[in-house]
Amino acid sequence: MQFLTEAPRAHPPEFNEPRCVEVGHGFAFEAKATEAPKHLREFQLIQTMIPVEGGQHCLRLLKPLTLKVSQQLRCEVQDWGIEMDYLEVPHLPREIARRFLFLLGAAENEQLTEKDQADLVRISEYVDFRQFSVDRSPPRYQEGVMRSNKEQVIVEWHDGTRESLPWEAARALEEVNVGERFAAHVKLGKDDKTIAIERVSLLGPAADLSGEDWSAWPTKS
Amino acid sequence: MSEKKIYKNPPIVERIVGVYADIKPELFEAKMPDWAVKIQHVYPLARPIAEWSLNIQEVNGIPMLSNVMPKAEIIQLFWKPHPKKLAVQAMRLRPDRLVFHLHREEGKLHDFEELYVEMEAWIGKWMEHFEVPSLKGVTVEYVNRLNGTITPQFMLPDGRLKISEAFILFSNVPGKYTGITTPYDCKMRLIVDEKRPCHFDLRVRAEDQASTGVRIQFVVNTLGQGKAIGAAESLAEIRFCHEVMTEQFDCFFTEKAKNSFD
Repeated sequence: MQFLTEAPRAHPPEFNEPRCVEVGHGFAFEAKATEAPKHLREFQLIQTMIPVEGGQHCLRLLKPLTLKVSQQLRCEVQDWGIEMDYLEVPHLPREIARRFLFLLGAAENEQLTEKDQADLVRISEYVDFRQFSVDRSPPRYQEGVMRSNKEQVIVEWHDGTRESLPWEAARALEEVNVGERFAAHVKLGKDDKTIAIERVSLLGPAADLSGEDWSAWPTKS
Repeated sequence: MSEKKIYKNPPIVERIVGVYADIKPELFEAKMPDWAVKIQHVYPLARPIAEWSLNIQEVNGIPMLSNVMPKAEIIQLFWKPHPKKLAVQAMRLRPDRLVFHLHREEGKLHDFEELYVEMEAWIGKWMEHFEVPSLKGVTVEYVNRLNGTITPQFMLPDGRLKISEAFILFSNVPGKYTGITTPYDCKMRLIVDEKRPCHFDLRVRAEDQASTGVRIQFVVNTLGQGKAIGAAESLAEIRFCHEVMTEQFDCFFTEKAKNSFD
């Protein structure tokens, strides 16, 4: 048998067996220091997507959360006003979502305390608010005409804008013929691009849309 | 491969089977809640665990704590319900893997086939749900424990373990000694097949809590850089790894031990 000093071809996986290590015990014999190093008290949470409403939406974090662990093994989430026992950390995503939804609701109802207000300002640096608002916005009623359903599905909306739809959204218009008018509830994403369509109704052959008065309708943008 | 030998009472306390892939962490986290709903009828008990990682780098042969901020990761763990509310069978997920765990119960040792069936049932659904195009390899992991409860046949009346009678690696240590004591922490990797590739990892260490017990872990893996295999191939590799595992099990335990497991 040969002894090979390195095995570069295979990345060694760590053992999958969960191992419980007593805090502090593992280093008691090996490490010498006059005080605990700071970087043993602060941990970065790897997770950057926090599920909200049972995963129907996600809170995207723009920068990672920092967990500060005290000597009493209490865990504080920096800037978020959350503190918990370190054993509760597996449930941290839920607490983050709760804190965010609470502050959002309080802000909408103008019921923020001074501390909450300060927390919300700090938290806003962590959260992609625009994406969250887009994700949470309800679909809105729109009418349009199917212009093409071959290689690309192209529709002309009531305000005259034409849009090439992504397949995920376009499939909802499967029953709409080319040249036919339809109404639907449309979910818009960033840049007002259609990301989902539901509750489609057929309105018959397209009339000349330019002849209609759309002035009372909201434009897409 | 040699004929598969089945022992009546091996010291295996946990069997683990895993498949590995690259899933973008954002995609994994976004799709996790829906996955929890999908598996809820079989694995209803969600018990996530936190994993705390320190960065240690070697400087001139000395392990040093690096200044990079340590990481905390929440690992998704789902248990099957058990009539006695024991934690026996679990599914564990991270962005790079799907893993099944099967623990030994008192009076019920379980076997590899129970795990294989689970992987077979879920691997396709997992790949579809998390948009996994291909896999990087598989692992089969067995955790063995030698202690007063699992292997009383190797215990001295004073509670010490006669490990040299059970485990080949410690049965013929050169020199004259009266015994082995802690620390013993041994790790090695054997190359089973360079092309596939397939490696056999071994780790032996004293139990964390009890000084009279030893934990012996065997891992067979087929992970390789740039490897891309499908679900069916992965299942075949899991079978292959299990064959390797049973062979290695036979190699590392003494004849006396194997006879006592029968």
